[in-house]
Amino acid sequence: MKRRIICDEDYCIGCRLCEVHCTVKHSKSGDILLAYKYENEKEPSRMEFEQKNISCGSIVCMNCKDPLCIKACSMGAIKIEDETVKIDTERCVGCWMCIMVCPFGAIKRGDKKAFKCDHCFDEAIPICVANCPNKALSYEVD
Amino acid sequence: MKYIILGNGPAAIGAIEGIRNYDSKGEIILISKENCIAYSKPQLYSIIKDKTIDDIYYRDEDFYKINKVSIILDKSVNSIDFKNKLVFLKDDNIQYDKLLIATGAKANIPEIKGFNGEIFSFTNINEALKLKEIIYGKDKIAILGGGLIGVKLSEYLNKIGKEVSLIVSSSGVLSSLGDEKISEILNKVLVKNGVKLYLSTKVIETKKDSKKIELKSDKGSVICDVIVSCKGVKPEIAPFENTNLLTDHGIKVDDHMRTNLEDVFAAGDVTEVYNHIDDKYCNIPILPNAFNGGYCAGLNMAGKDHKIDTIYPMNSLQIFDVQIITMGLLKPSEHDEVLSFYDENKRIYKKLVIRNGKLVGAALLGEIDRAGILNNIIRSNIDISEIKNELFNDKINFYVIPRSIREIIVKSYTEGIK
Repeated sequence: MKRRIICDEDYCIGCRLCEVHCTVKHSKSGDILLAYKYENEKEPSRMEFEQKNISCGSIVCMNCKDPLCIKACSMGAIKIEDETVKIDTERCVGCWMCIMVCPFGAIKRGDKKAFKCDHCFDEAIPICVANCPNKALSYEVD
Repeated sequence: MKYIILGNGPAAIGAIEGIRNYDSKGEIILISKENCIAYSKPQLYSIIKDKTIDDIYYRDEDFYKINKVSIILDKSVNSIDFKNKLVFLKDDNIQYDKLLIATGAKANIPEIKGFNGEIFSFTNINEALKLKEIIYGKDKIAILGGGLIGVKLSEYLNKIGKEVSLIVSSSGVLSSLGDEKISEILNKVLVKNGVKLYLSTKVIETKKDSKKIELKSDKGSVICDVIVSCKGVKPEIAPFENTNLLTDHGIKVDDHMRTNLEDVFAAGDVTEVYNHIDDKYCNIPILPNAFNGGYCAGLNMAGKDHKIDTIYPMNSLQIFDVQIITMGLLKPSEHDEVLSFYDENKRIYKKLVIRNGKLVGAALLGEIDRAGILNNIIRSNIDISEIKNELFNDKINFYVIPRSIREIIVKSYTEGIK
């Protein structure tokens, strides 16, 4: 796997802007005000922000080399496409086997469907990385 | 190179993917006694309600074609000549270079005194479709066995309006998980949703007349139209009995999924594998183990030297509106430390079992998010003496793990280093 969003916790200040941008990016309207105040259900962020004392950072799908989620999925709904781990929401039935095995806790529960970071496939670089004010988040493509 | 795969479940699919990772040319022949492509057994219950087999296929229909696999469906293996590397079907025999046995497990069906009718089961698509047909127009279903299959089937039959009597010999459902609290919570959930639950109950005999079946137990009588046995599964090893293949509670395999015979591998529910936490060989019939075992076998069949990951039981299940994830060992021994918490109102339960400073088991009910972080801690054998309280009291979170170890974890998963 070649695409990864990495958080350098020495630089992460815990502002959680990554989550805000992620929510807006994946919302219906794509508008911050509508996304946060007027859409029926606020689109959840794909980022998982975590903090321990001064250590903090965000975790998203790391596109593992040999993803455990793919092996555990009871529906064969998780695949590698374009060097990215993708969840086929048509197939997903919400058995949460992926949540049981993801070592980073990067897969989230939606309405009977699992979802996770899609690495903003339609952007040059993921929106969280582009908007991280202290450049704690970086995007590795190799 | 000619590979033969017996079976068509997750272990077989895993093996195909494993082989094709390193050998794009070798001939793969898959033989299955079922007459359909691979489907998801954990989702078999949905057939009872509104889904069809097309909805629960485990891989796309063109999977076999893409991977250049010849599939022989609806054919049973009669016997195998391991010496001459021949698989005998009813009217044919096929030579192999490498063989994978992934024939799965079949239902245990008890004999009940005085009953000569059919006891149904629910472990494969044929059994599921047959049951679906037979229960049409019938109201009262008795299910024997409170394991995962029995409980899930009770839930689905209840959801389509059947009167379900679940008869369990132990004092709680899912007792094999080894966690009394989970059993206790689920007992209540089943009863609240209308399942008639008979605990610590043993069926002694039955009486059948033209209309009803009466199941007599030590706790009274249950009247029903249909009996379904969900008393676990046993490895499908009949064709290999009286051969040199080493079997006990399944085919014995090593950490490369090799059997005791050369060029013969086995994976999935048919095997007996080494359980790293319990430190003994046992049959662990769960999907991730089947796929992983098959994948590992496939790599080794194709000539790689691949060792299987740590193996232990794990489960993710939803019973009505209760979500549960369990992993590892939940029944502590005397010297183990147990941290557990239960909030009855919020219906949240969390339990960690710690042995010699290492996490060996965890159960989460209600709040299951990020459970994989705990699973990774078990798998990686990380010492949690310093962080156990945080791990238990806080929301499960990756940053609880010390930074130096976290960095190793990231590296190992992203770069595939063990």
